Amino acid sequence: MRIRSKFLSGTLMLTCLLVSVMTAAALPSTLPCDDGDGILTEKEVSDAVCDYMLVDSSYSLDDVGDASYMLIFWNGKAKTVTDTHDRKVTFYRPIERIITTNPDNSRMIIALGDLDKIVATDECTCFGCILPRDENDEKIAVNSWEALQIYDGGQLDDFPETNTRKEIDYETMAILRPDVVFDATWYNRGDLIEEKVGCPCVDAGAGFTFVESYEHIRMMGNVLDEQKRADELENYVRSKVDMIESVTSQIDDSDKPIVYFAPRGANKGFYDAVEGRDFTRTESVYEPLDIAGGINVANDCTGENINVPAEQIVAWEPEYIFVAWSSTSSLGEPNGVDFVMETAELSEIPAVRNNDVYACIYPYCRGRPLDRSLLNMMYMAKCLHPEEFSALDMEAEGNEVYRQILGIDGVYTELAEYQPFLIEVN
Amino acid sequence: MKVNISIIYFALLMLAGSAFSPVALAMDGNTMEITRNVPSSLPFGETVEITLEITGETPFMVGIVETIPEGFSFPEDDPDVSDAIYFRVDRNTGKIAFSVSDEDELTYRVIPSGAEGSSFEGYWVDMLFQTQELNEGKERWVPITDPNADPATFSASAGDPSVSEEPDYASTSEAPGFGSLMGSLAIIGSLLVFRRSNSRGDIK
Repeated sequence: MRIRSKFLSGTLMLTCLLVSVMTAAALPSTLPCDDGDGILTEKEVSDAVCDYMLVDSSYSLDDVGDASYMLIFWNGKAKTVTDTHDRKVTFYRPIERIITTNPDNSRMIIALGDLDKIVATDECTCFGCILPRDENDEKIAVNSWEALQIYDGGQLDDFPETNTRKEIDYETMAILRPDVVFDATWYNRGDLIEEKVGCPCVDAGAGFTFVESYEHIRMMGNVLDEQKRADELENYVRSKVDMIESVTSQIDDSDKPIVYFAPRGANKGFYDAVEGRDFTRTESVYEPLDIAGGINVANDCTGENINVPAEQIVAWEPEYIFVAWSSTSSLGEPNGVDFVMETAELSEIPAVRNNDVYACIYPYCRGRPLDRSLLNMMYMAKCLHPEEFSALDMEAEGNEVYRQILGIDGVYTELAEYQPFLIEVN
Repeated sequence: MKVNISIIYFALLMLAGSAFSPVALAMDGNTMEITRNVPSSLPFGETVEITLEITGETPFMVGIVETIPEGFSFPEDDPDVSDAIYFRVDRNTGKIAFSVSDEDELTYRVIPSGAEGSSFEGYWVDMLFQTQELNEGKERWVPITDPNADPATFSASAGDPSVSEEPDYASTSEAPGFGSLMGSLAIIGSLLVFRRSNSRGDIK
């Protein structure tokens, strides 16, 4: 009996060992068409190309094409980049197949012109963080959805979904044979993904400061060999920041209004135990508001997504309040602004008394969307300093933001049909 | 009745296999062209020079293969065949392959030595083209343009100019990837369907 149980436990252990070995995919570590020294020479690659063209080779077109690409663009060597977590990530093949696990990286890949390299992505890229849906999960801005075509046709929600917020489908990822996975920075699971999927993983993302956005753009441009487009995009974002900052930097701090920013909206009132989408959440660092010429009342707080008592908001006496327009706000129904204006506890706040409570764009979507940061910066500047920014055409600027980031026209105009505050400020 | 359903399944699977067989690859970014220039006079036994002109944005890297007409041959020594840096000759099949990077012209030499033959035939591939497709194949090979392709202009070839050999390379039926995948799925699927059908019969 004891021998039998030992045999069973031994078999079980062996099985577990085999399964663990099988589930850990090997990372690529050799260059295509290389003689083994880790450097592709012109002769090596050219000989491989000639053999392939004579159909006298074991190399595939993928092999010789990748080797040619690396010879021309990578000097014949593997390429190593440093990601946001200071991890060294080495590529032994060019990037032609991409999986993303969050919308910020998907959006940046689109902005850099590589949408047609994405083979799978996360539920939020598919669902509504790049282009929006309404409270009934119906697509809004349908023309924009239609215009943003993925490889081989189809819309963003036609991508295979390989992860949700909580779960990641490593097996499907591995089957899809990506050249890289771009993961969000807050999970810190780059090494795990590499081990499970068998391809390089780059941790990348941005925050609520534009310096972080510039770093994100540059790093993604470097990984994707899209440095030229990355430079253009960074210059565009800088030009918009400069456009606003050149005006607001002339305003004395004592003349800048004190602002409370409710980035999670207020549809759930003062307290939302499930998602924290309540009026009392705020951000101590939200650079678009600073550049727009507002003094963030939470400047001296520490941390992200902080929760403050309603009494503290009253005590701060903000002159302006921005309440993010929640994706669950339905056109014509009460929204976060209505909650603030109609709640007795807040009635003595100067912003409420003077009717200076504004909706603004929800600044999150499983990340820190660059388009929303740019738009809020311009929108808040117009709200806070209407005279100085009277010539700023939000609709034109908004459409340009989306043209730069998604490569399609008229997105902002379409969005404004469902979020009227976007153009009412004009 | 069950047999009829099986046949429908089989037909649908075969239809799927054939429908997905040709792989449409994104070639939008390709602005290159390679043109062959053949001398108007091709005297027997004398070496003549064939020129390939390459136009396109640099940097580029292409693979090229040319098949010379029957009745033509290459010079005996490789250095006499071409001045290109990287090329390879297969005299058995009458083919010459090049690997070219950022050059706008290359030449090779042939000797017309017989009266029978077809026209020159050649293909090129953009080696720097990127696509998410796996198992890329000859569907990406592009024919070389020849403005004087009429074989009647070849003094050395007396074949019927209206007859040209169908290029092996251009056939999408050889495209690996979804074509073979869907074909395999269709066969496996049909086997499963018929196996299921047979096993039911055995039980009865």
